[in-house]
Amino acid sequence: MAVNHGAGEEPEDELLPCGQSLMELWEDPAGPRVPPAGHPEECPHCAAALAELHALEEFVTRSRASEAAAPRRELSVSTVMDIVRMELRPGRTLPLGEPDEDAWIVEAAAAKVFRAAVDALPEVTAGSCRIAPVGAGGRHPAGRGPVRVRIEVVAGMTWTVPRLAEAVRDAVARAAGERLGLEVLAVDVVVMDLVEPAGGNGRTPW
Amino acid sequence: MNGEPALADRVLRAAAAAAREVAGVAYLRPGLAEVLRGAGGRVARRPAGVRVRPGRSAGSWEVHIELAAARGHRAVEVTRAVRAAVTGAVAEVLGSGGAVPEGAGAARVAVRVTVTDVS
Repeated sequence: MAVNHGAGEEPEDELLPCGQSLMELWEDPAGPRVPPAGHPEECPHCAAALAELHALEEFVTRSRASEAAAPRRELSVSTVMDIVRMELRPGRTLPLGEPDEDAWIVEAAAAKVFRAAVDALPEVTAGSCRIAPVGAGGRHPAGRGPVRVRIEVVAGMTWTVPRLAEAVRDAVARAAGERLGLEVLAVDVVVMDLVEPAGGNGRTPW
Repeated sequence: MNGEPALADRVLRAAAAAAREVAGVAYLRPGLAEVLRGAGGRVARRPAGVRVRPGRSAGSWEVHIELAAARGHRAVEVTRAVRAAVTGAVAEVLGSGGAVPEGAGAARVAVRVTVTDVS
């Protein structure tokens, strides 16, 4: 039943030619980390990636310093990092709207909306979310047609797995219809863990 | 022939301006290269998030808009509003330029819209 149509798993991270994880490097450029085996100490690939990060940081700083630089839209650090993530891994291009429309959304953007909808459930945290077209339907033009969603979640012990799966499916279906206009045929919910609530804030550690 | 690049530039700028003004468009896709260029303090030469090219039939144009939809707006409705706005703006450019008979511009513009982020 839960067959993924062509939804082959992609690596969770972007790797530089030297084997270093780009996101790890950006998140912790100076701190201790375990480099890939045989990784040189003065690595040109890592240096180039960090130079790009510094350029981005400078851009954010300037945007913050000058309101005139962004009169209509606020540019924050998280906005810029969002842009970077979307640029690095936009994922598949998925059809929006009716079969005869030329409207699309990238997988990463749709997944972001689905994860936010699932995170809004009490004591539920969404993890990886992959979205793929369901085969090539006969009545649909190339690349268009409904999609299948696979989403991983961790939830508090107050949930039973069937109730959790149903709530997650409802949240994803509602977000797909109300916020995107994306036709979802099926939602595969993968419950990674049921855990004790962390502290008193109702959020579950991922 | 040398009028085509100038017309392409006008089509591109008209499409970008029209798309930016649509409610629910947070920003046109900047692209990492554009962001980095911005870090150098220079204004991007061409509007980001918009590509145009002549269509298959004579006098027609294909426009591709890439944008971030704003939260609170249904993404597909944003793409429809953008298509309508861009089609009208580009048709106006084509009509005023004498490239096609007046009023025929809209039929000669195909607009693809891709949502690259929801922010």
